[in-house]
Amino acid sequence: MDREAGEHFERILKLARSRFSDVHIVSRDISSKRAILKFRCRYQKYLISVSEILTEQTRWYSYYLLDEGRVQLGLDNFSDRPALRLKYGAEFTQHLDEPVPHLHTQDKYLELTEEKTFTHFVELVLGLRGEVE
Amino acid sequence: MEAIAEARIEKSYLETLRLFGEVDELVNEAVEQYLTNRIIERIRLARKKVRKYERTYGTNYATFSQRVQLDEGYYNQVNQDNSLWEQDALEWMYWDEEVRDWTERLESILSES
Repeated sequence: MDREAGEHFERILKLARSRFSDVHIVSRDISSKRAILKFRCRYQKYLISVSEILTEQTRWYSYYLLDEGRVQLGLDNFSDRPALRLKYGAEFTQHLDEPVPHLHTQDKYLELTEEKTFTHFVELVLGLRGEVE
Repeated sequence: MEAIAEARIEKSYLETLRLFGEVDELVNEAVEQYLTNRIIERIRLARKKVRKYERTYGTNYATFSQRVQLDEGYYNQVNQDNSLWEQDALEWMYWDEEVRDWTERLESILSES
């Protein structure tokens, strides 16, 4: 977990530093079974808040763009209630531990997505498509 | 005790260790003490992180994660109070699992000692 997670987090931070400003690491920890990176940065007037957790089975992620505390854009795969209901309907209680990738837009409107990465988020924020490495 | 590895010990330490008893036994005792201390430090750190979220949300992680998924009113309230609650939940989950895993590891070491 150590080396792989460390390299993955470094790639994310490198991309953040190249596209955004004031990158500030809030949490960074690599343990035997899991690893976490959480940081904040700025883009124009917006605050960006990012967290990723790597486990042996799953990559949990949460990337948010906020304007004065209000969500403008968010990608995450936390299995929250509306995302679970959208994906599984009435059977959602049978899938409580599964990641559910979804998109939040202004005021936390939600729709399901494919699994996303920090690169996808950067592309969305910058209005680019396939141009960010 | 099952022999699983060999380690090099500095000659000066080895000579002094022999004054106190059987070297393998003393080295294992020292390693156990070291690991116990390091694991306790780790559990303290993880518990501190967990307590921060328990204070913020007024409950433990197991209850929080269940309610936010099953209780629509609770979900709406949390969502209204904190735009970034999913990020809190992820980090909370991380440290909660760290407490559990390291506590199990500590119990395992102590039960074998």
